[in-house]
Amino acid sequence: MVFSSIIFLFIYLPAVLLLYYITPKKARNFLLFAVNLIFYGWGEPKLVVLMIISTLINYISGLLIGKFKDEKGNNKKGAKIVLIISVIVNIALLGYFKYAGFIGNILHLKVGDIPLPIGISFYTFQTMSYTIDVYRNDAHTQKNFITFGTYVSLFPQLIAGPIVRYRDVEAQLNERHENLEQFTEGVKIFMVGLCKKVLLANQMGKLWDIMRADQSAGILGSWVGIIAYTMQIYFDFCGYSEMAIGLGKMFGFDFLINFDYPYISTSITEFWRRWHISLSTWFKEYIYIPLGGNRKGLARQIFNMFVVWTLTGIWHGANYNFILWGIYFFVLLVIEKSFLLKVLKKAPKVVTHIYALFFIIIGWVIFFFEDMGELWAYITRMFAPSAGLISHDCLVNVIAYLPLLLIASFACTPVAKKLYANVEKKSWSWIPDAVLCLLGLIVSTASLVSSGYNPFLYFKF
Amino acid sequence: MKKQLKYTPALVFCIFIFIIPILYLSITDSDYSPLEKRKLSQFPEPTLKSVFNGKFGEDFETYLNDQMPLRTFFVGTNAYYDQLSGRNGMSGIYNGKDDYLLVTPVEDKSTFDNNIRFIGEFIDEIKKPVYVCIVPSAGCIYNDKLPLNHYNYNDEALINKVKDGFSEYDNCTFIDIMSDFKTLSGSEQLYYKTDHHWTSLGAFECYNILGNYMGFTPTKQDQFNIESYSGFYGTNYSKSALWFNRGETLEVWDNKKRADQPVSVVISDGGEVTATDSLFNRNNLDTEDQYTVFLDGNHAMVTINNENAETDRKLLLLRDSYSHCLAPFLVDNYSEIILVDVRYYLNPVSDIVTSQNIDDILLLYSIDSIVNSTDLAGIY
Repeated sequence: MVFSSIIFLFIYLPAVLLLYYITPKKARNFLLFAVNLIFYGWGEPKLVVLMIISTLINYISGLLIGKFKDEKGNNKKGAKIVLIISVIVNIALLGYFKYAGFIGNILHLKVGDIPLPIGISFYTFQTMSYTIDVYRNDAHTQKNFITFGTYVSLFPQLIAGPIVRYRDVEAQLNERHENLEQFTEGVKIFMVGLCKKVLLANQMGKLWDIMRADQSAGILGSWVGIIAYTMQIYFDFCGYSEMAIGLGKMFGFDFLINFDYPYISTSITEFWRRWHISLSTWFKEYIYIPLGGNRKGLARQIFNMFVVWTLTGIWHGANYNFILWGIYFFVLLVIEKSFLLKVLKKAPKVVTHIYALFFIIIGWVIFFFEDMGELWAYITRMFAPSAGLISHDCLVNVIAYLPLLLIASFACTPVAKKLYANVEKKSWSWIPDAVLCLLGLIVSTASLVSSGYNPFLYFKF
Repeated sequence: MKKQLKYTPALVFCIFIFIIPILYLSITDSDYSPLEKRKLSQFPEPTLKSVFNGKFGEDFETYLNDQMPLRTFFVGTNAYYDQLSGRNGMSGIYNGKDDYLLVTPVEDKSTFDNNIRFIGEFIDEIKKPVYVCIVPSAGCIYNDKLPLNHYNYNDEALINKVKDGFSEYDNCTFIDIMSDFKTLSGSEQLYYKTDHHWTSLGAFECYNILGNYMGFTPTKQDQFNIESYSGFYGTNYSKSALWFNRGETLEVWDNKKRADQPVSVVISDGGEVTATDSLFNRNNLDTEDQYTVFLDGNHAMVTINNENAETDRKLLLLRDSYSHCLAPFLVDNYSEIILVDVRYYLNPVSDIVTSQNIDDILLLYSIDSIVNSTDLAGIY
């Protein structure tokens, strides 16, 4: 189930909210666990089992690690062995379901069709954060299976993040203080996310599809196309994260922010501090720092970065282009680290913004095209003006989408938020809040309903 | 109290997301959507199998979308939002000047080449005089009614492609109505504003042009009783979802002589045969699909006999829905007209030509049909 759908907004969410708030506090985790499974099972009835198995393995690992640690003399060795086994099992599950097909292709082995379970990359990383944190004494063992299951399967962030570390929600899992203040805050954040997804990302996606398909789009057309995709992927992902954060608040959870206006960055280093923060944090916390980070000399640091960025690439998908995408950022980050950051600091802001956006956008070309031939063809379209500036049809689309492109660009900056912060200080701020909320609901719903409105013109030959 | 007011957004949100499911439960499901002219999906019966393979979930979401409360309101809101945010034409309909709703241009496709080939083979085999006429789209003819920012209409090039495709056959005459229509469009309304079809006047003008090529004397305009029916909303209106656009007038042109000199109309669909003496089914004016007033809309085969016709020649008219309102004019000039719609007529068309002693064949299709239809293969 996705958030931006009629079934979620008007069936699942009202039902779950109603059930949740009439359920006594003690039973609320149990209820959440049950509805999480329905949420997940709606699209993947069979793969629910896999998620439950994964939850069980990590639950038991946590118990064992805790037990070994509590033993007299703190049996570190025992805890370590359990941790290693659980990490291997987690990675094996993720590896099998996500990468077996890809690796099979490379080795020319027949692997068959393995369905990719939705959200497996997200929940595997979450469960691993739990066992590692317990091992490192950063979190307590969760003895209640229902509570642990609720954490792993928590529907707001289950299928598209953010990757919530166990230690960040440990206290809230055991005891939450749901309140109207937080609920209202959640509604507002959810609405912003919903509008980003439905009104911006979906529309930018349509523009990208049109521009990409037109081989004669021309150099400007190709650039507008990839800029539309740049917008689509940001508003899609960021919108989804905000909906998750908003929903979390409606149920008394506080998740950390996942996107911090990444496109206003002035360097790639800054971009990765602002983009998909929960993923970068995870890699930093559980891979980069354990490998020694920057404390073991330059050569080791570069190696560590290489590992992290290759993995970041692969995490996004099982294909060459994702590996290439990861390594692309590794190279850029190494260059920035060695000398470019110092240069950028002195350069005019306009130049640094253009520099960062240019490489971010080229990154999205690599990210989008899984076929190397198509990838190269698109890069060629962007730089070799064989098809002129822009075709007439593309120009028509650019003009048609110009208002949305401008709104989207504006929404990539924190300006609107800063301006609205002044309104929020006023005593009458509830009026624009409520009006915007209602408008956002109506227009988003209208957009969702329209996608299923198909006049069947049977008399039209 | 003042403190509580800041929770209003949460209240608005909850009312909205709770009221929709309440409406779902309290409004009975509809079977049919007159605006979309299609059956709406109904609640799917869950079975163990359908729940576990995800089919139930899929069907249930389609059902929810089809039966959404206030659906028309939401679809309309989205249409006006698209207009406001600059995306005129995204629904496939341009919101043009003077209330014109115009279909966006057709694009060249592989089906187009296939259709030209099939029809060419038919013409080659049949050896009888074949007249081919392609009706350009309203957007091409009424170019000045289009919004400023629009795709180009390549109807002229596409129609020329048809013309060139058949030029090698001596028995084929291509009838070009483009330039006449462009001239006439300055003073006459040849197409509906809310529908993709031509008006009765548009069909009449085409009929006059056909006369020049096919060698008959068209009946004069003053020979017709023109009945006007207001409140016609066509397919472009439904598709655009711009509900505030106005309805328009639909005209039925009935020959004054017809009262004394009736014709016989035999409609057959597969085995089902209906006979009547009227070219117009005026009962349909009260239904949602008013355009079916002309020859009762789509049927596999319609045979019209007129013993008082100008000649005793027989015409085979291979048609799409544009001919529904053209054929009633041709009745005065052919003693027998057989209209065949190859979407529904599944036997070889060439058999009709020999068994019925057909003299002339007219192939009249809209540009949209000849470019996009995958059914024209049935001609050959």
